[in-house]
Amino acid sequence: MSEYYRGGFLEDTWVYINDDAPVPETGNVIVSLTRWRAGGACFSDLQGQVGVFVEPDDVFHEHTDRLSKLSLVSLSFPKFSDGRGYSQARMLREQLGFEGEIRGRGEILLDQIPLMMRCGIDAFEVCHEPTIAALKSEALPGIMHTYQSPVNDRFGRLRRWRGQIQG
Amino acid sequence: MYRYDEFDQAFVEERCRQFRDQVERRLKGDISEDQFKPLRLQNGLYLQLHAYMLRVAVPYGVLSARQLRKLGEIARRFDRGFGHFTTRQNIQFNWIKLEEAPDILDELARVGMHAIQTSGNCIRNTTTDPFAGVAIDEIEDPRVWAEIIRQWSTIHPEFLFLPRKFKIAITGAAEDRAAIAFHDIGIRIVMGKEGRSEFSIYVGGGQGRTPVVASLIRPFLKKEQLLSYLEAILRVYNLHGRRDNLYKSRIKILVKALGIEEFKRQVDEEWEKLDKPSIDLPIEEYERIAAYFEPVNLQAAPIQNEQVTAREKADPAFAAFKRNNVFAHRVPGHVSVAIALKEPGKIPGDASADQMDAVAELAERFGHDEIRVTYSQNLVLPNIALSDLVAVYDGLVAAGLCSANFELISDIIACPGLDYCNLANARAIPIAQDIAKRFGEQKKAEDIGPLRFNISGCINACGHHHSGNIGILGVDKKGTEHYQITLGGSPGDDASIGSILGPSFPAEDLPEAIETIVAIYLEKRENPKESFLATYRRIGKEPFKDALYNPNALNSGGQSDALEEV
Amino acid sequence: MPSWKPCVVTANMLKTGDVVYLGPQEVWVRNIEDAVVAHNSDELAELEAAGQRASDAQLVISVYAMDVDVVEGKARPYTVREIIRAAHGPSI
Ligand code: SF4
Repeated sequence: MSEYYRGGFLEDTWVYINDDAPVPETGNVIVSLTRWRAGGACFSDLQGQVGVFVEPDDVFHEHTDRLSKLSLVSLSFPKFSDGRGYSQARMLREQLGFEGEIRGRGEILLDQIPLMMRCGIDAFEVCHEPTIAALKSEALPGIMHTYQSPVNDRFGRLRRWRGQIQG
Repeated sequence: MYRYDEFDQAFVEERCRQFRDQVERRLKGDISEDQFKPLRLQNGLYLQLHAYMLRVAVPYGVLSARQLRKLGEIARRFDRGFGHFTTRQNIQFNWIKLEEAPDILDELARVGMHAIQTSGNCIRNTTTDPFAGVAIDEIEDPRVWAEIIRQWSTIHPEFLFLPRKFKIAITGAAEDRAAIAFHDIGIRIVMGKEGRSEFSIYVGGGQGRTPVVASLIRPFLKKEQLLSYLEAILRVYNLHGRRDNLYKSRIKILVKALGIEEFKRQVDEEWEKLDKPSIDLPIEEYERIAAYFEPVNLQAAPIQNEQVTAREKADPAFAAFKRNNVFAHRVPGHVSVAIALKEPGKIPGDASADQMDAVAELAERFGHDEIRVTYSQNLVLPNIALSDLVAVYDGLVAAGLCSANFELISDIIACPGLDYCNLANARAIPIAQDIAKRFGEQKKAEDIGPLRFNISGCINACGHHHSGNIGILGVDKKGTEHYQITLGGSPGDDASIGSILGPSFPAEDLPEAIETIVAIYLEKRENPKESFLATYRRIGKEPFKDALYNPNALNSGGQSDALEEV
Repeated sequence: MPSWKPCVVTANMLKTGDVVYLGPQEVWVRNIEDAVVAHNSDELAELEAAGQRASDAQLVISVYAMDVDVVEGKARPYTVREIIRAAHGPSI
């Protein structure tokens, strides 16, 4: 079983299923947005939950009601310099009211994690070894003083311009 | 001007600690150069030809005397005794060591400065009119909003990994002195329908490989909605801007590809969905920030001063300085003084540590503690009493800063070029020096009149050559430095992109070519009041082209090699 | 056969950013004349491997091979860019 980071390292119960692989009968599965859109029926026998894997150029404007009820959306960061997932995360949280887990997956560096958290991403599948080591041993290197309202405040429609993240 | 409060101070100190930690991790080998590079770039640290270069943010070009002194101190302690002011109203230090960079940032933090987002694919320093707050043609002081944009864009978590860098400029005056048409977003304060000031928003301008004049996306925007509207534009760009090709990744390419109407539709759709109250600035915050920019309390005074008049009569150099470098102020009996960092033969935009100290002292004694950096790589003392003008001038003479060529042909904007820059094709500084010296004679330069002259060492166009009345672009032609000439660019209200004249010249032939161009202008202008740009627009480029490429024939020859390099 | 141009390996020191060249015994030197010149692709491969080791050891960054002229056995830069780099300062 692999691990992922959510405040600490946890055992991962979710499995990614490729588009050409069959959906297993049990367990929590993550499938592509396309597959999820196409096939309501093929998940009906599943004893477990469905999560969706969103690519940076995926558009999720349709099916927003159904999407917002999922318990997991995984956003892809193919390169650390590709920042589309930051916008997607905020749109999920603020426009779809998505309350499940948003994962970041891909090339994610230590210093980006606090920024992603501020956009509403709360779990991370990290593959960069020094980042994993740092997450295991130190506090996050983020900046606690922020000029913008954090996403959670936006949720509660709490107006706050300059804020401080509670550590 | 804005002063850091506890919040800003705590923020910037946290950022310094974070960067120190990042540098340590890099030196230990925990992170590779590939991974460190975006981190150092977001703190303004580049690797240049000879060393690291640190670009320090001068938010919208406003400095206090204390800050300028600190920059001088950094130049002395960590560099080779000078700094270079840039077209983004920032300052660069060219001889920085990575191991010392965290100490420099600590020093900067002590005077409320930093290097955050002076590089990298994020929102850069917002630029504005160097005469903001004092110009007589101003509707409203744009610095208030420039500061608000600074705060909003600082470590905005969503917009630190954009497809490409992002530049915003704002002006509040009738005349655009901030080149807003050449920015990713240009903002102009205008009088709205109900007698309230509002914003006109322009989008998709820029220089570089594909110069574009920005398009109007929204003629009127309520000021209190600015941040949410900016956020909508940035989000559409972040999601849809191209990431597959470095040269097609600026917002101008997206706007062109979609068309301004479709781009606007997407922005409006996104804006509609944004939770505006959580993004737009609370009114109390607006008022808190605006209070810092209350006009300096100046007493109106007579608009003539005996000492000034007498000196003008006795001292032609002073008279020339007053003609070219001294500008009207909204309060009678006061002036704004432009300090040209352009003494012919010197490096454009460079100031020594001693010169920074000298200007800081003049600002303290006579200038209400304020200095501006201009987009043309010069400085301005915005608030000088006419009765102090002679003393200020003498101070500038002593510091070697009395060039009377502000906005004349020898006031050349030039990037560092191949002498420092890792991306350059050709040198820019020696060209600027040579041309400035050729037109160094005051009478000759004044006769030619206002002429925006720009040089870039490569197609990245940091010297804004596309918007120069005369623009020079360094190109590499089979391993030798060549220079392409463009004519007719303009950064202002009548923004236009220069047009390439013809095949490029080797360095040794360039000054002669410029002399020819200027001679044609002098010959063809209708009267001495018709500027170079006006004459060019009237007669077109053919007479210049013929004189350069075909002095003896009517027909202009030669295929332009303009695009072969780019 | 394409004609072989002699080359040296250059970089910047990680800590200071100083321009350096790979000299004998994998020591990085400031003066290009002290750099080891590769006269064929095998020699160059050796130099490049040494450059990679130094880069992996967080000693240098931006490592690359550059063509040079060889005058009396010593490397001499010939592009404007490399002449300016080798001079450790601007041309002005
Ligand atoms: S225009 Fe080119 S040479 Fe000049 S500073 Fe920019 S990147 Fe460097």
